[in-house]
Amino acid sequence: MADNAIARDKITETNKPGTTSKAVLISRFSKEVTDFSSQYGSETSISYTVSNLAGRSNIFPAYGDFTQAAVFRTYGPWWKNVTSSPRKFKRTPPNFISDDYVELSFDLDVYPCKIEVWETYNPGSVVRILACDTASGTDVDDGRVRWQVLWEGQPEKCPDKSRIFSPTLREPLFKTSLIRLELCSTLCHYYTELDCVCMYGTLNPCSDMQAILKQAPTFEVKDCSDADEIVSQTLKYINTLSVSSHQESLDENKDPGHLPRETTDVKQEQVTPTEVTNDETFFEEDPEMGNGYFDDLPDEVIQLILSYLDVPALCVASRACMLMKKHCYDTLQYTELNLQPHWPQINNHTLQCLKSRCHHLQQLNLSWCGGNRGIMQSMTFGNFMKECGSELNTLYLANCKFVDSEVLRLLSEYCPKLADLDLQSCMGLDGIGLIHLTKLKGLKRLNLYRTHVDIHSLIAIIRTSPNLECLNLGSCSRINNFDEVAIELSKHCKKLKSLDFWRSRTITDVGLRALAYNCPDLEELDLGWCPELRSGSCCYLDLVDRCHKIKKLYLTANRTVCDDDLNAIASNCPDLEQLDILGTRQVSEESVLRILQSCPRMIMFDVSFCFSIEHEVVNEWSRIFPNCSIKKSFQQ
Amino acid sequence: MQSLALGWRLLSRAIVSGIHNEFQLKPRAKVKGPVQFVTGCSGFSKSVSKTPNFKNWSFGDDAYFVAKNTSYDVIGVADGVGGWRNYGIDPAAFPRTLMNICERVVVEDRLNLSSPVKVIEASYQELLEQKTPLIGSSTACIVALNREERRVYSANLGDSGFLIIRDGEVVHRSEEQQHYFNTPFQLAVAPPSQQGLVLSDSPSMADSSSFPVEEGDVIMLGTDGLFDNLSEDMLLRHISQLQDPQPESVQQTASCIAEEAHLLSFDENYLSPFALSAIDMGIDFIGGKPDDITVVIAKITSFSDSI
Repeated sequence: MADNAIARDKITETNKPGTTSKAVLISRFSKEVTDFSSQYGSETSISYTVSNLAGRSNIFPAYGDFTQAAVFRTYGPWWKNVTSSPRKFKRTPPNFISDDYVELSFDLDVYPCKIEVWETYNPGSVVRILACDTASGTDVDDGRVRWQVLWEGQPEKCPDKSRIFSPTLREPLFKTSLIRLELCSTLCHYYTELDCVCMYGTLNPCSDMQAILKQAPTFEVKDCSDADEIVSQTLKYINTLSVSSHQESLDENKDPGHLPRETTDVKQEQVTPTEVTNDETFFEEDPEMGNGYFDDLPDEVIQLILSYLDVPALCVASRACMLMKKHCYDTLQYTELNLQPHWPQINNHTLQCLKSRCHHLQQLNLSWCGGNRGIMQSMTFGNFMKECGSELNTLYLANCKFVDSEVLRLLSEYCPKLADLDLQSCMGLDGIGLIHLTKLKGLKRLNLYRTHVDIHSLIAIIRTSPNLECLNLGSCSRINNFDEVAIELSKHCKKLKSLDFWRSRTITDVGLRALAYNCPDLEELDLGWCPELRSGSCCYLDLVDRCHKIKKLYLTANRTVCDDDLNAIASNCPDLEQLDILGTRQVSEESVLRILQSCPRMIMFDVSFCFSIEHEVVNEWSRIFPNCSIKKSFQQ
Repeated sequence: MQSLALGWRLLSRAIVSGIHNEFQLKPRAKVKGPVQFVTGCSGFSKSVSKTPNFKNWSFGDDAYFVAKNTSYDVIGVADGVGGWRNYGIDPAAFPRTLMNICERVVVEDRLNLSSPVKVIEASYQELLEQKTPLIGSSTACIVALNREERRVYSANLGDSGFLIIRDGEVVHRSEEQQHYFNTPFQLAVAPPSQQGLVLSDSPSMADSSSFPVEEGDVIMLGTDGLFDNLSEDMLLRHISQLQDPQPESVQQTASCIAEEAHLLSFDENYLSPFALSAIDMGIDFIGGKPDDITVVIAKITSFSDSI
């Protein structure tokens, strides 16, 4: 099994090419979790938190829902088609499906030849494995930190048992001690949970990986589908499209170096917009030569065709000829810009190059971009917003390390129409920065999950945002009085439809009642892990009595939820689609059944860890109500 | 002339011896090396018939743990309050979970263990973070040895406790915490219907102490089932028979102690320490006290003597 031994004495190196070096396989569990997108547990806990992924195995081969596992905030489709779901951007490459990520550091740089992810509940969610080249350092001007995709694939539906997932990796280009996993748990029946990660590698680049891998114990090896191969073929094809038979002689005279060289690199690294957007390298064109049939097509049709390309492809296509450049640089192609799938390539330079094309930008997704190594600076971002932010209504900046007070000040100054803002996990923000949001009068959707927002800034923002419809305050651990927040919301944000109070420790029936009385449009309400809400105060009864439009209600780990509450929900919430009552001893099977019978639209019902509800009964109900996915988690 | 020569000799001798004294190295103060625990654990469940379904670290409604991290060796016990059985709650679940979490907290090494009260606090908070709705209550007593400092730090909430024994006598003991007779301080999670009606003490109520230790010291950590049935004299007698720091010997001692306590607990005519304190309170009682018994013995040895 994997253990942390280095066989120092056994390493023999030969520098002669052609000889097989007797490199030894080194294996390591990860040392530390350095970054992640979200987690189930609370910020200071060791239960269900992503930090559990570091270190040795604690659970395997047991299978079940254990506190020592690493668990992310969401799973499955339950957050995807609701009021609070983020906008789906056009031009998202089909192979980008990641919902969450986690970055792990190891204590040794190796050329990885095998990476094992030990999954102990609902496996099958790992979709990408990347390695970071930290040794090459960062160029502060260029901001170049290399990431290589070692493997990517589709999520799997797996049998209910623990497994060690170890797909075949591509040959590594560099040594690494920083690995990133990206996950998509859409197919998982319940939360996916991970135990640990083990990396096998060599200190020197090894030509014969197969021989090396024979030293490693194999559990399950998965073949990767080479999605990049398809992309590169398509790009090659696109490049040929812009050159017609009339152009052939023109091409023969050209310096072959002007042809996009990135196509060969696409397999290893995705195309960077910067490399193809440098205006100075455009070749001279003979104006008498036409563009073949493309000259006959109306502009709108060309624009429609180009609207199917993702951003890197659009940039590559722009290099074909002046006509293509004109269309590919058209600002109408850049009203909606999704840069999240290309996060490894996005840096200061990228934004600068894109600036000229984004004057009509309305929706921008920069989530996960900017890394944490000075790759993106607030000044560059500010300049971009100054030029392009006037029409911006949607901006996603989840997990963006460069977001600080200055960035928010620039947003408040240059993006007056901003209505949908996602700042989740932007740890660089605090009250001083967030107060700038009070200048944005049109805010409709705001995501502050896991930020350090303080109560004063939050209340100030609430007071200036009467149009607020969706607000996410999950795991905002610096807020010490959620009742006050709820009361302010009830006074100023009457249009509220979706509210996420996940882990709001201090909310009581007072705050909940204020919301119930004043926000009748509430459809989505997450009150998970709020221990101060007591059913005995009748706050749940008041809630459903007033808010009949509720579609999604999460009362996770509220130990006081009882039959009376369920009966009231059954009577008052005909549109109910999702209900979570995990962990209460007080509900009986009858009241659960009444909900299933009274709410025909139910698609998800979580009764995990409800002691009176037996697994057999749940199976029975699943047969009778096939449209409702009933969850009953367990520890083996 | 002769006196001059003699004088000179004396003078030169004085000078040389003086110089010699200056350069003579003072004997260095002996630096004491780090120490460690060698532990043995034993116990009995009160109800002989029940077989525990937990893999380890429990006897009846008692639970314990042994753990170590980079700087500390730690032992702990928790005595579950049996009254929960009347509500249909398994009283063993709470203390077992608490001890398991304490072990995790120690091994994760995020807290400074010179304040073991923080371990109890953190473990209690983590207990509330479990998805499973846990109900119950227990005492808690944790003893942490800082190996380099050669010092133990302790936190005690309730009527479990520990003794530190050196050269045949008790040099340090924990303070018992009781609200009233047979009702110790206890950590609790109550069912919703009983909120505010159930005795629930905050972890911060725990009593802390610290004490320097030497090689050869023995720490005896136990639940009240142990101390209510065996007097300190009887315990000292057992410890005096523990000669060497081998794990087998320590384990043997622990087993002997637990067995004697178990036997005497059912002896109806034995004047147990529990009977003595009952009589002190004006209650006419004689005999042992049937209860779950847990004893953890930790002998202090030099760190280099690790087996």
